[in-house]
Amino acid sequence: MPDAMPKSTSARGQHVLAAVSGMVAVPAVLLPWGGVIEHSRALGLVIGALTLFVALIVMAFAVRYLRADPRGAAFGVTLGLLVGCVLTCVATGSLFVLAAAWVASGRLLARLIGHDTTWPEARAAARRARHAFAVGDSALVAGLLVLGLSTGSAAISPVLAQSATLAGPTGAAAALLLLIAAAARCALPPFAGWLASSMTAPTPVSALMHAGLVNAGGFLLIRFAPLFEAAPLARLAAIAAGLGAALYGLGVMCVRPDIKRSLAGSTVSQMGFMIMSCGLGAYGAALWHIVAHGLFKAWLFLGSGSAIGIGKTPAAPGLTHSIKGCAILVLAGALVLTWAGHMDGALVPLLLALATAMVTLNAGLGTQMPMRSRLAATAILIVLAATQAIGVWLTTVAVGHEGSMVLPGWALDGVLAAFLGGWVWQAQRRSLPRRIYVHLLNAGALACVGAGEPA
Amino acid sequence: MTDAAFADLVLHQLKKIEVIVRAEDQRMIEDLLHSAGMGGWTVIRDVAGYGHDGFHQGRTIFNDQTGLVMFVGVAEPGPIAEVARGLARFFKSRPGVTFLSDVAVMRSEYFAAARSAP
Amino acid sequence: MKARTEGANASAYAYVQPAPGRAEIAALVALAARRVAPLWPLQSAIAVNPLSGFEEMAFDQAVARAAAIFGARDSLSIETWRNLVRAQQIDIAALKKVAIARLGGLVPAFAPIGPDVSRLDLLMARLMDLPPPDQPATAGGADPGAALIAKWCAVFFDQGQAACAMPGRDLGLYRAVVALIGHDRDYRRLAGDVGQRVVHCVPRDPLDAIAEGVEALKIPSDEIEETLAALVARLPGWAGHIRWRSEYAEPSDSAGAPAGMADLLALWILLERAGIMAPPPALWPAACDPRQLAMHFGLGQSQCASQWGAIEAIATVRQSELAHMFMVAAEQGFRDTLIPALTAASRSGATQQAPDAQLVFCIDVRSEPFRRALEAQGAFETFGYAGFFGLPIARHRHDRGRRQRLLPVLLAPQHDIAETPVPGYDVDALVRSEALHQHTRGLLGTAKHGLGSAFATAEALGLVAGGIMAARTLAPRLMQRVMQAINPDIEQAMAPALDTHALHPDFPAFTLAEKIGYASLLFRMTGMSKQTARLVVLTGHGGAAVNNPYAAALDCGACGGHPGGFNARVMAAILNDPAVREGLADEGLSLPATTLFLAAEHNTTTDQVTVFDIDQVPLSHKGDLAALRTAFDRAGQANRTQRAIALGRDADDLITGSCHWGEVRPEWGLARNAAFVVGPRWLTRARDLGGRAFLHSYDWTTDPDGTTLAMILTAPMVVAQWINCQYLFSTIDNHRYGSGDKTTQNPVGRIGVVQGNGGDLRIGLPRQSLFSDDGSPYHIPQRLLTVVHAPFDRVEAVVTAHDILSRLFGNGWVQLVAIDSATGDARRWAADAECAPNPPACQENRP
Repeated sequence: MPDAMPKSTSARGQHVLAAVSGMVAVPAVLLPWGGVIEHSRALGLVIGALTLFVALIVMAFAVRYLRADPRGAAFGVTLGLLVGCVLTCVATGSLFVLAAAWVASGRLLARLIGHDTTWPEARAAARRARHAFAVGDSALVAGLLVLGLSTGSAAISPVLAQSATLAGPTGAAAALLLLIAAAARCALPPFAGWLASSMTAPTPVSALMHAGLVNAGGFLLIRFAPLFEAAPLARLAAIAAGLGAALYGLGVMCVRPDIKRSLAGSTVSQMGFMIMSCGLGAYGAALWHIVAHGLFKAWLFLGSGSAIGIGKTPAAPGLTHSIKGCAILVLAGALVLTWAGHMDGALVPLLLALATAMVTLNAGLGTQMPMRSRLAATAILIVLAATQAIGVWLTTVAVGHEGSMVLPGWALDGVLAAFLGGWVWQAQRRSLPRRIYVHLLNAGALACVGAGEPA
Repeated sequence: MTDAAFADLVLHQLKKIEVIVRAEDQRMIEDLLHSAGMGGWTVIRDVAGYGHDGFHQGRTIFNDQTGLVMFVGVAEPGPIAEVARGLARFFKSRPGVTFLSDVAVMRSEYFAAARSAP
Repeated sequence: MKARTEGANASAYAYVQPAPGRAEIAALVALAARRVAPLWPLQSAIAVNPLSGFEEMAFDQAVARAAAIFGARDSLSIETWRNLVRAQQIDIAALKKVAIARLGGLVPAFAPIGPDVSRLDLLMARLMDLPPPDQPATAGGADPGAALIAKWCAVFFDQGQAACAMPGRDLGLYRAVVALIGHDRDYRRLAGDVGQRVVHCVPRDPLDAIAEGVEALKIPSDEIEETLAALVARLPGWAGHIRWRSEYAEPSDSAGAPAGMADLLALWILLERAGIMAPPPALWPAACDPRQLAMHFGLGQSQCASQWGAIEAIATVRQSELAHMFMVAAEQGFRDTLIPALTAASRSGATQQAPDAQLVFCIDVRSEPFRRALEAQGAFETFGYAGFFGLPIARHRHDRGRRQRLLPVLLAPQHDIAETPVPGYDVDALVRSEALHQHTRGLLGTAKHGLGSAFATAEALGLVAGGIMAARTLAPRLMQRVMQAINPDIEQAMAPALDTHALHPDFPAFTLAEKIGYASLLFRMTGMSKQTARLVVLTGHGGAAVNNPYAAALDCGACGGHPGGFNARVMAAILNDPAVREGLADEGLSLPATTLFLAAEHNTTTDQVTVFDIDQVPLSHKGDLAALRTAFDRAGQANRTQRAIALGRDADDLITGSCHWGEVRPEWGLARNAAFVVGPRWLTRARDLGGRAFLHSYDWTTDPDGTTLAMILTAPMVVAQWINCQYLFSTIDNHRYGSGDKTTQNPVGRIGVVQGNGGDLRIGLPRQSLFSDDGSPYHIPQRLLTVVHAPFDRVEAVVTAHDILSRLFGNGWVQLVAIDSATGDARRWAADAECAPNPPACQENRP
């Protein structure tokens, strides 16, 4: 019997300690600069709490999961610093600190993607992430510079207070630059590649990345909402980029045969939806989406080891019909709202949620199952729907301001129709055109890397 | 088959191939027969015999992959020749024997090829 | 007639048809396919020898050749071996013995080279001290061609991961890919315009495409097989998956997506024709500089000059040979401690004591420590038998469409067994809850992928997901208890139905004669006497792991990578059948009427034992069972404590790990396996084998013609050899023959894993299953040592009568030691390589 008990529990404890000190140290050092946020404190609190919760779970998971990792210590330290940077980002009141923490978090994330430094593929993936972040970070720094210089302040609050008066091209340019920064971090196309090729990171890193780090883009948009309110062009761009990413990401998710890259496609899609919601002015819904999706995706990533076992899960019977019916019903409702002049950007995510609830309820009730099971299923659905409604309401209160209309009602109906129509098309199990199929399959493919493995 | 005894029967002249290989190679021979366009064949498992490597027992009940199997196939000369060419390659590195012979059958359509080899 | 016909064909072929025909190509493809081992989906992971295609060669030649072909290492690095010696995992004295033998015996080994320096010193310095050149001399390049084909294989062979399947799968792998590859930017980048032209003009039938391709590429006729085999070896994972599909899978697994090795090879040929080249292979250094060796000992010019030949001879011993010497030392050290203990036991003979209960365990190495722990708890007699209990069955679960093959992969199922509710369980409620689960899962799966529902699904489930995540991470055992409370125990509630065939309900699954046959086989194979104890427990085994792609690798290999409880229940039901008892009595096996057979399952991760169908135990045996269950608990506790030391954790943490979703090493599995002992339990009972030995019970006195021995050696031992070789090769090169680090693995197609973003389907075992946390190998790579307790001549007769045995023993894949039952002497089977052209014979095992 080997007497070796090589890496003791205490050694692992040290990694956790290092991580925690990183989480504490970064905000402690950076936050005194320029103080913390005064208003929209709740936003920072919500995202900070989410990040901390997921980081705690990931750390506890990793203590076991990365037990045999020769670079476990580096992992702990980097993870701690990264979380510290995110906390600083959401809590700081200074443009300068925000930029510094933002840039640093990108570098640290790239380092975690290239965690296995002996693996050429990991190095290539880290390089790609660094390149994408370099573009996004430059845009952020430029955007913040524009804001700082044009308002003459280095703190966020005065800048936001004056943003409504930042008329014309200056405001639009700043907002567009911030949108680019957000898109790079949220992995919206054309930046989607870095996320889709980041599977060289150990599973817990992916969980944290998809739950906490990619959300930074959404945070940025919500944080600078007053600026975007004054720059309709940037909001239109956000809607377009978000819608495109939502469709594209979902396509990637559907064609990928491996669980992790399929989840990455899903994240791209969800981030697109979230950015689109911001563009539509549904800031509260976007914040709830950030929280809920973060938890949801971390759960799926950590559980990715279960994706073994031949056999497709059978689709619930009659779903196609019910999707078609519900889609038409919801769209009709939206048209009525538009006609009555009550259609609003924030209603788009809500109406989609309504359609989902209707379809699932229908599928839950319309089966051969005994009454008791059906009642249970219905009760669960109602609880879930209620959670979501309460969540959205709470985050809306937390954000404190809803956006103004940027798209006319008929255009909102168009956006809604794009989702619902695509859904119906999907439910009919039409196969994708070949060219599009191959393009989606290749999302995030790393050029110049073959079937290499860690050396 | 010109015997008077067969005079009242309608017989068709075909070729027969018999192949005896190790049971672990059974699948390879099946691929080969398929590819040559054979429409069907018979497999006899657990063939015993005596040859170059001494006595061969039938298989033991715990391992289907030990022992010998025998294939018997009847077809037009074309596919049979194709099979034989394939077997010539096969026997360069794997043990086994094959026999070719002329046979007569009553229902020629029964031995039609699965698909015509190009 | 035969000769003339063949000759005529050959000459005609040489003259008019220069291109090989379809059948010829089919034969070449089939031969090339043997280059890789079949690869089972991880759902029912089966250990195979990744070098099974090389077993016709001697072991060291095979390893060297495979290393060149697969671009793999041929052994652990010298530094790793040295560390194993330093950690006393390998006896330095054994290494010295091997070195002396390498130098030709004691006299040449101790011949002086200089002052106080012998040839042995030089060789030992090379083994233990000189800095080894272990980095590859030239690094192997990335293989973009392989990455391209791997990507397409992953989408084609997907078994339900992607919501949107690859278009055109019904055309077969080759045609489906050819239809799409023109749009693939990776292909366009690698192959350019030539690639587009080639795609448009290649034949659409894989065999025709290969035939045309070998001609276009001007591959000489006698090199085609090797060329094709080299292409197969560039993607051992997907090629192995194809072998599994065509040789072992259920037809339903490949329905709608046909593919054979010809498809894969046709794709490779397409790439070759498009000009996508293979990367240069990695080259490993061979030897060291003689001057460096001389300097190490401070040998002067004069000594160097006079002894240069000797120094050079030792300096030029290849690195791979040095590494091989370490392995032989590990094997010899192990053999030299095990064999004397067994011969001593053999001479002292059996001690008879009427047992309270008898237990039949699987031969698995993990049974051995548990059996020892159980035997320490009371008068229990244990046996080792293949864990499927000789039953070639497939299980049709009431809730799944796909049958489970609960038997070794060497066999095809003969009996399809359905399930029936156990009286006393509310089966309707079970079925309802299962249906609800299925339905919820289906709904969630569909909702996650729907363009209209994906976003709301994530939002609605977020909080629930957060809660589950926290519970699974921070309180996994509580979570497990909650889940068990919600989901009733389906395993206990459904029992095998022996009286109805799963596919033909009008017929029984077994005839009476078959039942009697399997029942008597148990006694014949294990040497169990007819004087059975009041309780006989057939104990299958399975592992416990969650969220772990390799969970099935911890289950019973003899049950096709599934837990063995079901087989045990079938066997117990057969043996309790009064008609079977009568039939056995007619064969001379009249068992006591008081004997009750029970089925149980040993959880090898937690060392807990589940006994099945307890409610059916008659009152008369309740007391016996209670005593046995107490013994199970105590033995489990003891064994868990022992195993926890080896895992570097505390015993309680093993139970936590078995249900923790972040656990990458729930148990050590079959790591450190080293021996396969065929003989009665009393032979090994006195010795702690440390969980390193497969134990198959065998009594030579009940096997006069050697039939049983032949069955044991040609089936269970072959399976043990596959396991041994899988562990061995996965350890020596974890990237080529193993599946690498678990934490960066990415499950693909619901059948296996890739590393990171993609690439070949991974074969073998992950790093965490073989290496300790500090990176040193926990599994010592050494070849299986088979020990048989029987008369010498009978062993020899069995080995020579079976190709497979003379191949494995003769080529050095397995070592065989026979312990003569009469004298207690041990003899070792000499490999062909060691004793020249004479027929294989037994030789004395030198102590």
